[in-house]
Amino acid sequence: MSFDNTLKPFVPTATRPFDERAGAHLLRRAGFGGSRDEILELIKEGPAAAAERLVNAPPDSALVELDETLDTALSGNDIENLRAWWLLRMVRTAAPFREKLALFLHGHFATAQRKVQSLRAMHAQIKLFLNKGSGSFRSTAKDVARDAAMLIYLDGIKSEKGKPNENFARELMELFILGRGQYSELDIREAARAFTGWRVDGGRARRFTPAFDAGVKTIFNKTGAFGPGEVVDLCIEHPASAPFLAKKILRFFVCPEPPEEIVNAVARELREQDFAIGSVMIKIFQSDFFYSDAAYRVNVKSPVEFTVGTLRILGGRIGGHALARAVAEMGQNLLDPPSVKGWDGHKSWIHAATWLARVQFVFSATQQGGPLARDFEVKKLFDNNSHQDGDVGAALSLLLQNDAPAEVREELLNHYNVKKERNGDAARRDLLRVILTMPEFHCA
Amino acid sequence: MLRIIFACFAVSFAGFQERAVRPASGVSNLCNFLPADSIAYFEVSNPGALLEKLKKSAVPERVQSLPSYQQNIKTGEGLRFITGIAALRAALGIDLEPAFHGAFGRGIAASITKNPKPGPPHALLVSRAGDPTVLLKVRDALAEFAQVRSFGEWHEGPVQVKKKNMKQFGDVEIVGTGEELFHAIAGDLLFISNHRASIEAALDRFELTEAPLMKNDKFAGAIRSFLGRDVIAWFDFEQFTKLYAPNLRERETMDEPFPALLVGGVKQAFLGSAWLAGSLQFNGSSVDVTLDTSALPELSKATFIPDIVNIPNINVRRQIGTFTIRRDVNAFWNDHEGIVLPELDAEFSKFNTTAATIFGVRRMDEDVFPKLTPVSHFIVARQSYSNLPKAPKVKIPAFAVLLQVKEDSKKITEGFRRAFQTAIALSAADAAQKGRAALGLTEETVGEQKIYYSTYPDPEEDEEVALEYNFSPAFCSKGNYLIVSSTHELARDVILQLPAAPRTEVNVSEPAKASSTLDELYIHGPEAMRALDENSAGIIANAMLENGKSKAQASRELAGIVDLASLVRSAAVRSVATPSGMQFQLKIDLEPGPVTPAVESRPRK
Repeated sequence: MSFDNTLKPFVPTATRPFDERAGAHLLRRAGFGGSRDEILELIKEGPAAAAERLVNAPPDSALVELDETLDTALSGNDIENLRAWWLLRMVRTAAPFREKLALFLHGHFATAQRKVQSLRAMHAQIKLFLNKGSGSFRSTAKDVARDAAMLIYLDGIKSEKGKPNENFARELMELFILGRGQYSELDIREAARAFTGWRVDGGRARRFTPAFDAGVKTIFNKTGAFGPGEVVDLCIEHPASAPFLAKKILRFFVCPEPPEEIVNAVARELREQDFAIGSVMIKIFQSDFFYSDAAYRVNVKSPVEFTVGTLRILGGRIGGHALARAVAEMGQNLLDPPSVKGWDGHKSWIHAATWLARVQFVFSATQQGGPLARDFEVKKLFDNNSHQDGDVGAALSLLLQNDAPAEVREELLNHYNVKKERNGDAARRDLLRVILTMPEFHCA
Repeated sequence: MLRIIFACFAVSFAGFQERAVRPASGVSNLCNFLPADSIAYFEVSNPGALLEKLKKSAVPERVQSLPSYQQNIKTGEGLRFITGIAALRAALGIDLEPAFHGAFGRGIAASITKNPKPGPPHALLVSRAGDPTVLLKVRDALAEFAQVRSFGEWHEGPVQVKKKNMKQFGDVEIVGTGEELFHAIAGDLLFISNHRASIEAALDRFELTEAPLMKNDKFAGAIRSFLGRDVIAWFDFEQFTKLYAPNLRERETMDEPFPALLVGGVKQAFLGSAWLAGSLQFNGSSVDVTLDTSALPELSKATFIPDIVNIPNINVRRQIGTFTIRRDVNAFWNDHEGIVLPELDAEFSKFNTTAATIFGVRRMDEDVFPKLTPVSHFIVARQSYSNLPKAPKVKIPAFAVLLQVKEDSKKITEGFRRAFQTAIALSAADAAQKGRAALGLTEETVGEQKIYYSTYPDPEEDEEVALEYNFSPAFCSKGNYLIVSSTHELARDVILQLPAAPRTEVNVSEPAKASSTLDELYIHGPEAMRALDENSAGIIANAMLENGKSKAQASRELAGIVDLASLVRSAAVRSVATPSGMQFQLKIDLEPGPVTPAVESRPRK
């Protein structure tokens, strides 16, 4: 399939309508999926307005109570509380794109608590992603360069004039902005001098001027007494930055192997919008390519997307700690990415052990009074059900937008009707379990 | 919970008519109807009398006057409960109290036995009615009431008994609903079980003159001493572990290691007892619980020490409780493999090495412990945080351990002081490496004694007071007492209360006496409640994050717990060595009135 070199907008037609499938697709990518009501609201708005509303949604004021709670809980120094707080935000928020983008940035600027050992610093970093993520990437990268958690994780606090530590400068170029092969070892050494002179005290970064190397540096053949912000600017202005970032964004939000034309189109958009992430994301979510077969159900849901998405549909009172443990079992231990490269994602999410963890999660989440969704009431999901295939049709529509193959639907109908005779609610739970463990549900 | 109870009644009592009854035989004890191979047994010998005692006490009135009670009954759930009670009363046609007396007033007993097939164990409950006609009435009313509740709310369709689920057994009809719940009424006896054959076997025991369960020596021996108490329970630990430990271990991989800890930890904590027998007695203003175990004699010999060591009467400000251990620490140190969980064994070895390094000795069991008396006294108290600009958000109570050296040995005291200073220096070096605030060492003279203590640098004004500010470790000595405390404040409070120059001659070779008190835990209710209350923000936050509760819900629940705790003036737990094993005694004092001193006075010798 070939695509032109533009992000032309998606215009619904009779053969490609903006229907429940398309609405649910947008909600899964710009968020974590959701209820039928949420999908219907998007359809009412149309693809352009829906994308704009999702990306520009203001912070959800209903989360204030949860945020205040965390402030107290952090004093107890338990990492599970921080994980639970973020996951509960994702499940409850009315502005899911904010959380989804923060999740992307957490994997992009990967920082791990096992080395940082400061919950306050990790929390501040996540808040940075939540509050400023959809603004200018240039400004986010500058904030990350002086972020306490990042300073500890990539040894910025050990970097002093005369003894610069190169870790942050190297990852800034290789993993955060440019990609391999776009810089020289000299560029790294010189950039590292600009990131000297930071200390972390009480979870906050503080400038320690005597340790800062204020001398003249030469980076990408440009010479000056560059500070950390100027080095970030030099990287952003480098021609490789926009395609690198465009590809990373597309891989996370759209498809695992984006065509070069689309990467270039997004890169051009990034430059034109001066790396304003929110504006670029709106263009992506409104594009024809986003709604094409090349992007539909081609991503493997990450553990966070899978669990949060499931719980947003099921409802109930969520056990935050149990959810954090379940996500970790599936291979995504939030706030502790495996390396500075973050998580590989896509097919690497699924293997024998993590699949078993996914199945266990499904059983736990649909269990009455279970630790994950305590007040989950199966009946509510099937209320006002007038589907021609009864409960089976309703469940397939709710969870898969009818993306299940015909023979699977047939099989489900045969088995379910026999079971329902014996026990209505238990059979409905079994039905949900079967669908939630179908491969289609694990593809975003 | 209420729904579950109603559900049980619904499926069990539905669709009834009058049954032919068989008069009770000469057997009077309900345990006569229960199987010999029971794993667990529970009996309330006279529920009617127990209810009377509870009614006559001040407890119901005090509970009703609690602010959280008043608040909870106004919630949707509270109102539903009250409406449910009213509806139940209407269905019964009589008040709940006479209904309870009439239906179950003369005894309730239950037991659990192994299910030879995969599935839940078999449970059997037998109760004796005060008035058999009321029992029938209660059964029918509950069935009708539960059916009404079942419509549209939690059960699909009305509860009905199909013909195939009724089975005649002699002149008694055993009724089920297709679900795993059956019941039968015979004379003044009601049988409920999840296994029809268990009821049949119980009905067969009518003719027996001797209870099969009493032929179980382990049961009979343990339970006889508790006859006449309000509640009696018995648990065959050995059989339970053999039957269910593998299943519990399987579950361990799914959620958390709790089941394994429960089986392994509790079993080992009770010194490998083969069974547990317990009783509860309510005396109006206090609750006494006694738990008998069959302790392992070899381990007992190693750890029991005579009750001959003098313990000073310490009662510091804000004292939450005390814990006194009269045990041979050295024997525990050497035999720990039999007591601590295997998972902890590696940690224990690491700790052993670290302790020896800090003390500058080769072996703790040769160079340190033999010089101490076998009594350790722990004191826990809330902190005032008067040394800090503001209190930390998480408030950890201070704790101190009071040890005694066998002789007035300056050498061992000096050794402890040095060990304390080494530990602080090591912790400071570690903190410096990690870029954290380090403890600094200083000293203070109180009377003639020096307190060596360490503090963190004062927090910045705009900085949150971190968790570690709960600690300002301290060491001091007085006579042959050594005090190691988590805070300077508590060390000072304790040393001010210690007698000037206590001397105790200890003869550790004296054998343990029958009924020697080994360990004592004393909790002062009001201070424990305050400790809970001052950490309420953290507890609420945890409940919100862990269980997804709303702030209002979590706050209401905590307020309820704090309110209930306010009913308890004190709680004391003792472990006592008896000739047949270990006995654990719990006494909860519910007496209202002025707060008593936080520590019971102990006789001085």
